[in-house]
Parts: sequence; structure tokens; C-alpha cells
Amino acid sequence: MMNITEDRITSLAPNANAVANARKISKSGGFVTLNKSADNTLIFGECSGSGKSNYITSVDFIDDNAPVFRCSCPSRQFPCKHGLALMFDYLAKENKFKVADIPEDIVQKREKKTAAAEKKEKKEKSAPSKTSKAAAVKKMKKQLEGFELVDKFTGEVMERGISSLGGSSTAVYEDLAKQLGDHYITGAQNILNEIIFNIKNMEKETEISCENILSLIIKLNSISKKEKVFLSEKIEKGEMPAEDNRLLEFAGFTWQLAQLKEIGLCRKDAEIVQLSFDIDYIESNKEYIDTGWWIDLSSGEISKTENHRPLKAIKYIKEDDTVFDVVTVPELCMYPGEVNRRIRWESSNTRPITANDISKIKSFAAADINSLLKSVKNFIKNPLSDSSVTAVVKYDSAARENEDIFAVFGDTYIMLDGVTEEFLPYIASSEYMTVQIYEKCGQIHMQPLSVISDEMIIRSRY
Amino acid sequence: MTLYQLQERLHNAAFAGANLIGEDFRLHKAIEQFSEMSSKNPVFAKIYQTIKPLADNSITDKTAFLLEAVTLVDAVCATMAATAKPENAEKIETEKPAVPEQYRYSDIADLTYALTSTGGGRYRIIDDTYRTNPEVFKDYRIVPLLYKGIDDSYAETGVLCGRIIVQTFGDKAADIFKNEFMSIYNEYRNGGTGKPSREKTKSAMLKRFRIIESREEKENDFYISLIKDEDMFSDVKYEAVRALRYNEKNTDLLIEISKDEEKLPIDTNKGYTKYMIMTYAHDVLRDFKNLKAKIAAKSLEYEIQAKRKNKKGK
Repeated sequence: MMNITEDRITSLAPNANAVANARKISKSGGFVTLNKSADNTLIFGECSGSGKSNYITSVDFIDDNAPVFRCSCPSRQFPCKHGLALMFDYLAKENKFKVADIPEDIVQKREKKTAAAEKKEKKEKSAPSKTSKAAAVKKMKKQLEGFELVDKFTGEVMERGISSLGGSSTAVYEDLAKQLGDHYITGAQNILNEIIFNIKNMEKETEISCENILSLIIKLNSISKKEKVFLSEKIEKGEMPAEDNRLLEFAGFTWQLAQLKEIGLCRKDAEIVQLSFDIDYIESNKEYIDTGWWIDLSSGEISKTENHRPLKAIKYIKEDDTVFDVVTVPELCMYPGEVNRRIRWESSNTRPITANDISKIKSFAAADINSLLKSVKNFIKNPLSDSSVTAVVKYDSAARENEDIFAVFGDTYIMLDGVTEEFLPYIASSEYMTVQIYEKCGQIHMQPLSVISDEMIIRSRY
Repeated sequence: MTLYQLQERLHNAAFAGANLIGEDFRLHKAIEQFSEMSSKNPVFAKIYQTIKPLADNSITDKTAFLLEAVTLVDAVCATMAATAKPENAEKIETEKPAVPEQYRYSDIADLTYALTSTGGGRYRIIDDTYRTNPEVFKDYRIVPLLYKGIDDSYAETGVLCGRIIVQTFGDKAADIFKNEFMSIYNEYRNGGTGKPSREKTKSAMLKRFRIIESREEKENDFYISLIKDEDMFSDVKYEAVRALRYNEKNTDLLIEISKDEEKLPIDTNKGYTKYMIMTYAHDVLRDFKNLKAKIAAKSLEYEIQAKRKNKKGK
């Protein structure tokens, strides 16, 4: 059975423009024929476009968790606006779809896909070959060499002093950043890029940039220290590196879902709800990061999705979006880590969120603020950890002193950052919110991401 | 000596460089003072052991020690972060707001971009969105962006943002803009040496006028008050006279303005300004379908043509 909802269409779309264009096609009646298969697993039709002949478009729901889009248009975006428009058409005028036989070419493509999936499964189950083990060891040795370069850099900077950076030194460091890429330590490379960005910014904001550079150097140094021990052990034992350890990420290890499943970082039949969504542009790495914060409806664990879209490949990478429905995931993979782990999945479906789901989310809210803050502080003190923790909290009220806004937890007041006057009434009239908790100038602050009211999740961003 | 003071000294040492630590007497003094605290608890003892080598003149390369010390002290400071202690915080009492309309990122991404970035093409996005989905401008995330948009580098975009606010939120928003208009005007009139320039004041007032004017005849009294203000900028008066076109009840006033050049309350004696205002009044009158106005307009046409001839003759 096909599950087509507006939320699902937008979550499958590559970007906001594709959704808008698809809506336009659907509203203007772009499809000249609309068909569906008798078993409700396929919708297909012909859409008039700028070309001479109509585009043949179909959306195949043979696996409802992973619909397959096919279209004869020349667009390099996937799925294209025609596939999405076909889904919008189905949503708006299902009765206009005539039952028809599944076209022969789609039957053949389905067969090919099944065969490919079987082959992939077989490959995943087979043990790694000797060649891949040798290649992994070779790569780790190269990474170790890379961390020697990192040590040299941090040593030099600390000796000369951070305020002496700038001018011609950025060219040297840019070259070093490239070298780190060649040594397969992209995690360290990203941090160095951030340092370079701050060096360039030093003329404008000297103090902030110096503080930022110092904390990045501390992070880089801590990573290097731990990575060297970790990699040396792995090389000595001749082991493949995949394991539940965040150090791999810093070394630039790119996780594949199969590897995460292999080491047990996978949960079956998960139901998750998006608490907040935002897109940031990271100037230092010239990329957009789409971040979604999600709560697991069975455990209450809060995780995040991170979709990295480098500028140079922006056209070809799907942009994430807000999701209001509950997302049901047959196999939810988690990245190594302790708090707010990154999650990913291959296929999913959606169902509308209910009042019961909202109640469940509220039941996971941290009741004791002091013990939550203690664990947050213990987490963020580690230079290798993220600088903030995202949690759902229950609070008593909101208070104001001059321009400052606070969340009140009994006798405890916590400063709220980034609250607009327009969003404040939602905070003040509720008791539950999703917040990012962090330390700033010796004080704990919170940034509200969403308010969980009785009816819905009201997001401060998207 | 507090831990935060020690952290500051260590950070300063990192900014200056490890090779200058030997000359950093403040850091040396801080380390010395911290030695007294080291007996208080094991964490402070550990910190003291880490910072001690920095004061040891026999160690030449202090880079690694400095990094280690900063890492440890920063981590301990993070665990000591406190919650706020406001002295007079008051509970925010508010009525429960209505359940808002839900918009996805993809629904409002273009609009957000148009309201927060720079460059061309943004006016069209805002205008199109207002025509197709005006409800989105009530969204709590869009409203603050609209207010910021008033100061957009493109004046027209700023006016559009203001007009949308006024159209969406009605009297309350219009009053805000009228208050702003008057306070800009009063600041200029009453200001001392630091008062804003005439041009800046005029352009800020005109921008607000164009925003308020989107309420058309609802603001008729406001337009008349500007026309009757003897000191008002003539540019603002032109706009106010033109805005009288929203209400046919202004016919008599327009006829009065068009006819009696000498009685025109204008801050300049230049005949041209008065002539322009009369022309505007005439143009507005001509647009009215009111018969009385038509007759008046017809007679005015002769008058104005005669004035034009006179001016050319001079």
C-alpha cells in the first residue's frame, strides 16, 4: 500500500525549490495521464514539459519504505519535480488515477533491483578480504603521519602565540589543511579549516577569534593525542578500525550503514519524531549542514541527523526538511558516541503524530534539572565532545529581568538565549521545551529549539 | 586567586606564546597564589601540578605544559559553570496563544532568505508570497524578520516589509509607525548639535509615511494633520496631498489647496513648491468621479495652465 502524505513528499524532495515546482505542476494540471497499478504499488503518468514529447514519470512503492522515482526528463535532480508532482496529484485527486497494467519496462526494472539487492546483501555478509585489511592498515599508517603534522602545527602555534597568527601564515596553514586531507584525516582537516577561518577574522574580532582558535587548538591537540594511541594499537593488532568509537569520526572515517549495522549500532522498527530542524552555513568548510533533532518514542533518546552539503556539490545532494509526522524506520543506524548521537537510515515511512505521541515525548522530559546540568557539564568538559547537549526539559515558568529571559526550575534560573518577543508567549504558556544547553562565560545557558504544547511541537526555527 | 582568574592568565599566555612565559610575571604570580589553593581539594592539587612547570625557569620548552594546563583548567571551569542569579526577575504572565499554523522549512525558506540576505530579486519573492499566502506573514518566525526588513538597504523592500506589517496587524502596527514618524520628526526639530541631518530625517519619515499610507483612507486624519503642519517638510506634504485621493470627502480641502496659493501652509516661500502642491491637489481632484470635483478640476485646469504660461513668460 502506498503511504503518500504531504510530509512524506517534502521529506523525499531534494530541496525546497523542487517541492514548490512540483506543487506548481500539480496545480496547473501538468499530468495528461494519471494511472495506478491494481495492487496499489505504482503510480505513473505522462507529464507535459518543455520538451517535444511528454515525460514518462512513475513512483514505485513496491517497497513502501523506499519509493523509487523514475522519469524520462533530463533533470539531474533526484527525485525530479515530476515525480513529486505525481505524488501531489495522487494526494489531491486520487480518484482521477485510472487502474492500468504495470508497464513492461518497470516490471523488468523491478526484477533487476531485486537481484541487485540480493547481491548487495551477500556482499555485506561476507568477511573483509585480506586486501581490504592491508589497505586499512596502510591508511591508518598514513593517518598517523598526518597527526604528526598536526602536533607540529599545534606546537608551533602555542610557541609563537595565537595573537601572532595572521598575514602570510594562513597560506601555509591552508597548504597544511590540504595535506591533512591527503593523509585521510578530514576531521582534523575541518578543525584546521575553522582555525584558518578564525585567523582571517582576527582583524575584525581579535578577542573572539583568539578564544575560538585556542579552544580549537585544544580540541585538535586532544584528538591527536588519543588518535595516535588508538591507531597505533590498531596497526599493531592488524585490526579493521570499525568499532563503537567517536575517534574514528575525527580521523575522517566515513561510516557506511552496513558497518554501523555490523558493529551493532542499529535499532529495529524505531519510531522517531523531529523536535527541531535548522540549516547552517559553515563558512570555514564551505558547506551547508542540515541538522534535525529527533526523539525516539520508545526510549526518549535524543539524536540528530546531519546532512552535509558542500557548496561544490550542492546541486546533487538532497536538502533535508522539517518533518511533522512520526517517522517509522525499519533499521535505524546510530553513529558512535554517548549523547545526542548522529542517526541515519536508508528507508522509512511516516504516520500522523497523535496526542499520545506528544504525551510520550513529555514523559521523557528531564525532571531533575540539577542532575541534568551535572551530566551536561561532565559531557561538555571533554574537548572531544560537542559543546552543547540537546534535551527535553520540564520547567515551571518563564521570567524576565530587563532584557534577559529565564526558564525557571524551582529555585534554579537558567538564561534563555535567542528568544524573540514573538516566540516568548509560547514558552511562557507551556511547561516543556527542547533546548540546547551549553556554557558561556562561566554560566549555563539554554537555547530553546521547540516548545512542546498539548497540541503540537512549536519550533523556534523550522 | 579564583580558578577563572587563573584561566584568564593561561589564555593570555597562550595568546602571547609559550616562549614569552618566562617574562609573564602575572602568570608567575598567579601560579604562586594558586599553590595555596592546591591543598583545598584533589582537583586543585592536580591543576597546581600541571601549571607548576610553567613557572620553572629550568624548563625551556613550555609549549606542551601550557597546552595541558589550558586544557585541564578549561575543563574544570566548564564543570563549575553556574546557573543565573537574577535579583528581580518577574514571572512572565501571558495568555495562551492560539495554536500556530505549521510551516515547513521548504515553505518559508525562500521568504526567510529574501528577508535576511542582500542582493536583487528579493522584493519579488516577498511580494509574490504576500499575494499568494499572506497568512505566512503572521508566523512568529517571520514577524521579527519583517521588522528587521524595514531597514533593508533597498528602500522599496523596506517599505514593502512595513506595509505588510501594517496590513497584517492593523491599527496597532500603524500606531507604532506613526509614533516612529513623529519621534523622528521631533528629534530633528528639537535636537541639538547631534541631531540627524535633514536628508536622513526626511527619508526616514518618507519611508514611514509610505508604510502608513498603505492603509489608504483609514489614515485620512493623519494626512490632513501633516498638510496643516506649517513646519512639515514639503516632500512629506506632497505625499500627504496625494494621499488625500483615498477619500472623496477631501474634495473641499483639495479645492482649497488648489485654489488659494497664498493660504498654503508651506515652510518655504518658493513659489514652485506651492505650485507643485497645487498641481498634485489638482491631479487628485481629477481622479475623483464626484461631479463637484470635476467642475472644480475643469476650472482649475485653466488656472494652472495660466500659471504655467506665466512661469514660462518669466
